[in-house]
Amino acid sequence: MVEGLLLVAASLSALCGMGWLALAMKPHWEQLRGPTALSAAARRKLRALGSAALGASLLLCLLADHASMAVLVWMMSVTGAALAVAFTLAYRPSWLRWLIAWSR
Amino acid sequence: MSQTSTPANGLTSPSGVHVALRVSAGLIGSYAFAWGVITLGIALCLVLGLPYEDAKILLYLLCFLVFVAAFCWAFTAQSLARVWLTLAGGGGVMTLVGWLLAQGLN
Amino acid sequence: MFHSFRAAMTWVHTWFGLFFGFVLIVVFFFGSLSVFDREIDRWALPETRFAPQPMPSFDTMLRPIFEKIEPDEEEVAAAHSRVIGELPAKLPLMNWSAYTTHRDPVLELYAEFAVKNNPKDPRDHVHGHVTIDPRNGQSLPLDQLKLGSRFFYPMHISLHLHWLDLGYWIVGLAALMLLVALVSGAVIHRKLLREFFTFRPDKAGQRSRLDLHNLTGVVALPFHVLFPLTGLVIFAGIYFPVSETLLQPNAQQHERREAQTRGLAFAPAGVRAPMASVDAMVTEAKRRWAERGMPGEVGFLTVTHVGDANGYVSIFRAGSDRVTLVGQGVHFKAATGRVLYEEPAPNAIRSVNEFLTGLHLQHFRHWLLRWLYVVGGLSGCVCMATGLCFFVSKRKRRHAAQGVSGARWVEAFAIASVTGTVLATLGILNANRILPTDLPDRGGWEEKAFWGTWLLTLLHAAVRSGPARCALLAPAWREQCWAVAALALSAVLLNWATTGDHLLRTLTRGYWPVAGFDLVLLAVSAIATLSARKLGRAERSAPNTPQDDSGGDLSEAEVAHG
Repeated sequence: MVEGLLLVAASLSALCGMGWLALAMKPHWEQLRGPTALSAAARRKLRALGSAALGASLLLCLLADHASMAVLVWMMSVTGAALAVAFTLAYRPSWLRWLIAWSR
Repeated sequence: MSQTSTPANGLTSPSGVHVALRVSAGLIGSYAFAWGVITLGIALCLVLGLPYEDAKILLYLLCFLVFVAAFCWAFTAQSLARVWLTLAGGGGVMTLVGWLLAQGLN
Repeated sequence: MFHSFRAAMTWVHTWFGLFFGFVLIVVFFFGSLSVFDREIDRWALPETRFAPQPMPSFDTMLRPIFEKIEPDEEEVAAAHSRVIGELPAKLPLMNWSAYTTHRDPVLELYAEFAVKNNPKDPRDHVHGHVTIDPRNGQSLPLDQLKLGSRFFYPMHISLHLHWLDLGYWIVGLAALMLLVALVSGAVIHRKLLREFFTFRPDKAGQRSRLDLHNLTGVVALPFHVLFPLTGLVIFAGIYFPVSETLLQPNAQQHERREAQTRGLAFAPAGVRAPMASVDAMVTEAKRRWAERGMPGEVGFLTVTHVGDANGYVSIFRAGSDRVTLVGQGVHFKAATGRVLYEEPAPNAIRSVNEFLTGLHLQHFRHWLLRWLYVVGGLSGCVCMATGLCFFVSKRKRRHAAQGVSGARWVEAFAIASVTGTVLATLGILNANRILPTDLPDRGGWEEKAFWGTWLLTLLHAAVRSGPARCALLAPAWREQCWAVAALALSAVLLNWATTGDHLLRTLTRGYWPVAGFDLVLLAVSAIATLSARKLGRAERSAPNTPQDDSGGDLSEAEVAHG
């Protein structure tokens, strides 16, 4: 049960992490915000958030499983998260708007 | 080896014979080269005191990376002769040296 | 041969990708199915739909069953051609083994019998096996084909091409070519990081196809690198048989030395001896594992030199909680039950090897990771399918104008590889439910259904891709999608009709192997329906113009610049 919850949290964290890293790129930022410029500060913040979320995801995986397994799970979760973010940006980009709700 | 047709997009495409030779150099040459690395590699590990099984496993882990590198090189090297010499020739030499070394350790 | 490194890599990626793409789609598809091979076995063999069981008592249940195992008739027939003189009526028994995981309700037992008079291989042997229900020792009929572990999985590793191990060699070469394609692809695709998340489905034709090809290739790159590599390492002994050839003296010397230090005899003594209680040995092995801080279940049990004074029993712990398959082996003297040798923790090289092997073969307990593996595998299929479609669409118009049919044939094979493979799989699943249970050689007929369906899809694709000559989308894609939708649904309905296990029942009972597979089939049906309708709309909206992008073909330069 605990392992399940940790893995759900790890997956969500990976998802947010990849979302933030994607939105730190100009073409994807512009998908949500139109031609508004992506400031250097915002980009730094998004990259930091993204990296932190991916790091948190790895930590959660390590808490859930044996170390060798955890690294595999994390690597594949990041892959899954990246695919999910890419398809969301392709078909329903507005679903990611709450990831940058803090930036106005 | 000379190139032949030049299609509209400007890139030259190689002749059929050259392609066949290059592909065989890539496949056969890389395979021979990998054999050589494995045989010589295991022999050197045995010299260093590693048990046979461990040496074999180590070389098995490395040999496919060697194959891929050799294969890519076979298509980027300019001279086909050099590819054959290095890969097939080098592979043969390494296999022989490795085998002789391993025999001596028996 | 090429004017630049990138040009060389582009050529290699295009042509080796084309040639081996078909094989790789098949290998990745059946690899993805193999993740849930045992669950598919449950769907295919309704009498095995019960909970996974631990290994039962050896003394009371397994030993009498082992003793009754006979060598497989086909293997004995094949052995006749390998020996000098006659084979004895009763082949001498060498070893017994049993392997189980946390996902196995039924247990497979194996025996090895010596084939002594083979001049080329003094250790030649044949096998016998039986599958039992561990709850009561009942044997399963031998001709029940386990669709998952004995058909889809062997399809993945050897394409069922056994002559001279040709299938293993083809799959191995394809794996190497995949690694080459990944390296060359990375070289060609300059904007690897910049276009990491890029997928523009609204851009017509080639651009969106290329986007999807790049996306599925790059995002799952660790998966796409690790799986062919680890697969190759697992079968390295087939591709580079050093121990059987050049370095045989060294290999055998090592084996003899190992046997001596461990006290595990290389050869039988030729003196008969009774067998002590194996259950007691299992208890001792479990005690030792618990002492090391890793309590566990038996994963692998072997008896070597059965009935001989040199005989020994090896018991390995199932690695359900870690990546390696089995480990912590404890070896006992068969006659007395005394511990001969307890394996120490593996050294660095062995650990890495066991990790990589376990990573690929996945006998661990981790449902999230298994599903992520399926995602990775299907991404590989999509990567290669889009690559093939990109190749076709790029050349279709040119070939149609020139009256050449190259692109048309590539498209036909692509259709057979993609929708065709799915249809063949659905064909065998439907046949599994339709064929009478008491049909002799039922498994053989199921296999014929598979190959027959696949052949039909290729013929259909060849006939219904004519419009490629006029650079239109082949109707075969849409038609096969409809067939997939229908056959996936019929499989679920047939499961219900023939076993009574409909979704509501399996979901409420919590029997996930069957519920999960039915749900996957329904999802496949839904996706196929949506795809067929989308393809139909695309065909109807542009009946006379090419289905490629309105902006014209992407030139070589555009492709090369990502």
